[in-house]
Amino acid sequence: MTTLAANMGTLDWIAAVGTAGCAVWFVAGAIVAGMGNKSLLKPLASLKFTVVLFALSLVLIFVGTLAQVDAGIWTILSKYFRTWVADVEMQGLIRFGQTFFGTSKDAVSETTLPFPGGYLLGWLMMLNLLAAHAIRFKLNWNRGGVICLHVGIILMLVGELVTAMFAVESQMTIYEDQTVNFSQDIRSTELAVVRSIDDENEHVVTVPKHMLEDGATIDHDDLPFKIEVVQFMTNSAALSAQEAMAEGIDPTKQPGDSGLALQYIAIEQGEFAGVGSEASAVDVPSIYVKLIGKDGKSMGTYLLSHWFSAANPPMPQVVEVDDVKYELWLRFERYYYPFALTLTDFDNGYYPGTEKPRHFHSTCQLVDPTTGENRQVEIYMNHPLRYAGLTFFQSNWIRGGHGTILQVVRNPGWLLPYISCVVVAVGMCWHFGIMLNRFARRSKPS
Amino acid sequence: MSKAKTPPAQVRDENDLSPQGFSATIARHWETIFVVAVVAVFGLYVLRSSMPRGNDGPLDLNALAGTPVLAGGRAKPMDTFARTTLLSISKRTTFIANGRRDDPVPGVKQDEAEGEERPAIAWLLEVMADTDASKQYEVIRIEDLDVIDALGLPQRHRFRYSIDDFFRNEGAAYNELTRLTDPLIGGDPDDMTTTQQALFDVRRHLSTIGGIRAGAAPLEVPTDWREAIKPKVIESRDGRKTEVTGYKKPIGPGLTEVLADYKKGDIGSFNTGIRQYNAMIHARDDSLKNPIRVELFYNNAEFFIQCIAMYIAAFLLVAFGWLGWTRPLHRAAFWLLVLAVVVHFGAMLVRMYLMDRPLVFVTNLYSSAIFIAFGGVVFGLVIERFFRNGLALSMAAVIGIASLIVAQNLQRLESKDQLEMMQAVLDTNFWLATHVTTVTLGYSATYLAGFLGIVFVIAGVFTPILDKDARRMLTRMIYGTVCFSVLLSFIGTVLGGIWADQSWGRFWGWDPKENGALMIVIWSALILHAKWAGWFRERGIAVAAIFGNIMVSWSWFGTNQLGAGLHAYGFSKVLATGLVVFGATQLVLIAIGMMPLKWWRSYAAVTPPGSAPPPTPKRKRDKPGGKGSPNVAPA
Repeated sequence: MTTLAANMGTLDWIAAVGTAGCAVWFVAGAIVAGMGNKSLLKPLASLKFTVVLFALSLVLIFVGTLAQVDAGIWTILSKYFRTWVADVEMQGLIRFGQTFFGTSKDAVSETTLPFPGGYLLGWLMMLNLLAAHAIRFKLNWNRGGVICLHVGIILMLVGELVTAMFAVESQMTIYEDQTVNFSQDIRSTELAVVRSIDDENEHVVTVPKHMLEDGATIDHDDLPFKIEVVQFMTNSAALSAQEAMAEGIDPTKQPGDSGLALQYIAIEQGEFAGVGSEASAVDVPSIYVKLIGKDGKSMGTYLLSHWFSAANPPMPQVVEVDDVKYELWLRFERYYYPFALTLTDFDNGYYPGTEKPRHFHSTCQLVDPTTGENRQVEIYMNHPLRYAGLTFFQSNWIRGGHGTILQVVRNPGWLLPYISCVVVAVGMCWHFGIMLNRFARRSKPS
Repeated sequence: MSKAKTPPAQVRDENDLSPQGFSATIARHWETIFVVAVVAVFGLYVLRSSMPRGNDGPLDLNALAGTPVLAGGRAKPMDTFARTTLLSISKRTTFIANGRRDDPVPGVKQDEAEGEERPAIAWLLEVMADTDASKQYEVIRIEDLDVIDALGLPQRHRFRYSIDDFFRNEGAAYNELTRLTDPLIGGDPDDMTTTQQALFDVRRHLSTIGGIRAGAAPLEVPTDWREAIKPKVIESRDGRKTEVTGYKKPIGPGLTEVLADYKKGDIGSFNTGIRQYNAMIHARDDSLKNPIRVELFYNNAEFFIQCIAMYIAAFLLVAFGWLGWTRPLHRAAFWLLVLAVVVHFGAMLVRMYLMDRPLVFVTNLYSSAIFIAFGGVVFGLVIERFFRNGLALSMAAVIGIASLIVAQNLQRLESKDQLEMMQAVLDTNFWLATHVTTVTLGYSATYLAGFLGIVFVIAGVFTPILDKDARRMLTRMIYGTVCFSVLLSFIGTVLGGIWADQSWGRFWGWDPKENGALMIVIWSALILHAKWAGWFRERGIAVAAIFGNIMVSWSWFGTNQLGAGLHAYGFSKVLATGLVVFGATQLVLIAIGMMPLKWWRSYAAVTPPGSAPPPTPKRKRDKPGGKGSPNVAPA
């Protein structure tokens, strides 16, 4: 909830207060209704209100789909579906025009319009549903199906809310014979300064992504230098100096002047879209940082990049201060676990004579010292590993690299959709069964 | 059409049938005989079209058609390879032999004889044997006039060119093609203009043909073709590692002598050689025999074309039935549709068998169109059993025709093997059988409701036949269909969510395809709730159901367009245009449906101008056998 509050703007607050108002109204109405007077809940319970909410959500889903041409799915989630007020970008409609009506490819619009967001519509639907059942509640066989299916719908809404608020997705990359005890959040990046203490232990200072804005300065007692952000790129390409020249880019005109920046440059790229061939692509951030010694002297401008962290072997940017070596990384935010997975075998295959992957399959050894667990696990398509509240899915593999990429998901609400869909399906069949039966009886010749 | 009149009309029909005073019983026999005759005629048509065709000469083309080859990761008859290859090059599965010019240059007299239409396998044989004739066949389709101009090719009515066309005048056209496309190699197709993409396609077609001539494609079937091939890792000079897939053994070397025999004109040796080759492959892998035979049969019979013909015939029977002689014609249409749907289902079973995926009806866009047609017809037949008025029958036929035509066009546009192997991530029979089937049936139901809505609007606005009872009955048909569509779409969508949760831990990812499915669910739910809220009555439900057509089409095709749409070319451009046209017609129908009721002929016929339609009594469903009871012809 805290992250929610932090990200809310004025409109969001209005929407939240509005919903809260409805909620209070609902509670008051429900109490009054309990005492026999149902008039207070009636407007909120109205079926017309339901229809309006349906229509609004159709519009929201439609524009939320269009916007995916230009923005990644996580941007869409926070801008359209997991928000109180959505900022609908008119650019999406232009994209629609370009796709279907030959609108000019150069047309651009920066305009956004506020529209009820996913949270707002979801909560209003919930209140509408509860109010409707509060005043029309009648437990008998004929109404049972309707009640049942609506209970299922409520569960589904709750499930999506729990997912929105608590689900964490990350990735675990393991090369054959490697043991890994952390996964990385491929959507959030951190700058890490690592000093090794001994063979086993490291001293790590991490700077989260939201502090890495262009022009920001990071100063901390645990750091031997100040870090000034010169340029942060959400998605970037890394080129060697030769490649840059081949592309017609002068590598000497780039911000970096020390370390790896002498061999490589990074160029900003557009954020990946959520649709089409880019749907599963990941943004690769890079950053140019200027290090300033505690004495105020510049130590040079360095390039840090996910390209370096993800390289095999990884390429740290090493900086020496007072004979102590520090490794600087721009890397995905990491979640460490008390257990570890070792990839003992990765097996993949193609349809003969084609480039079409047929299967991919990881065999891992799961070792958990805290529980004494030590067993072999198989992870492949549609056969995830569920362990310690986490689920590990076979997601991808390193081409030619004997490495597997697992999707790691912690979602406390993962079971809710399963329950709710059974409940709704039972409710629907129940209700339509009654209707069909009635209809068939009436259709019989008299 | 007008339901209320059915019982009297029926009595009249029987009288019409028995002008000489036959008893009603005999009249009924006549009717049955008529129905049986109609079904029998079409049954014979199906049998005849499905019969294997013999060789029309000494050349044993059928043996070559049945030669097992490996392409697209699966063993298939050479016939399938020939068809898909020719389809991608020529947009047809047959070709005109003898290099026919059907578009004479103005002023020049056409003296060449009409060419003969030949199957794809005959073309493939010529190409594989590298005969001179193969270079003269006009098979490379170029539609882009800019490309034709740029390459200096003559304009042809059918837009098809031969290999010779490219190498005439010291290869002027070919050299120009190479010059224009060389800089594009390795480039991103998205950055090319449509003309450049079309040029690139021509180059691809030429190299496809070249590959076959050189004997590099298709591949020979290895004994273990069902096993996945483990990739080899290769390291490029700059240290980048990539995977290459192992198996590359072409069929060419094994057939060298046989093809040389053919080129020499030694048909007898060719026939023997090709049969020996087939026997050798079958001896290696006995299990290939039946699938190859079945696939040849399936290719040859073209069941879905038969189905289109039967659906059209059934529609005509229903339509004529509304003019008169209603009962026999509608009964004939019903049973003809049953026959068609059985053939349709049988063909889907054959696909299942060939793909070795029990209960999986839908594996790609093409098969989804086939299944939507099937679902629409089955729903229509079921509904017809309740409301025996021909309406559901006619719309069943319309959906069957439309959706199968979409399928035919998809096949033409995609020009690929529609029995293709599945991507690893989709390779699970359980979810394909449950989620995809249910969601696609939801599409069918939504389309059926929409088409019934169209009937409501057209019959109501332009004819006087939509009287009060007919309106009520039609509304109930639409309403019932929408109920099914919400049920199926919802269950299908949720099953998809569960599959997603099983596959990558995200029950709902808000991706375009999921959103499209959700929009169908919400729209159907909206129709139902608006009805209960009293906002939609008869006309409202009908018009809303038409809008449902747009929703399904968006979900089915529109969402796919978004990714590709910005650089739409070829396949996707045709789809985008088709969608826009379909959407526009639906919007026009909606606009017509929203005209004031005084302009509706049916309403004007029964209600004084300006008066509102009688509101539907809210609780009428609680009065069985009352005024709301539908008029159903006695069984």
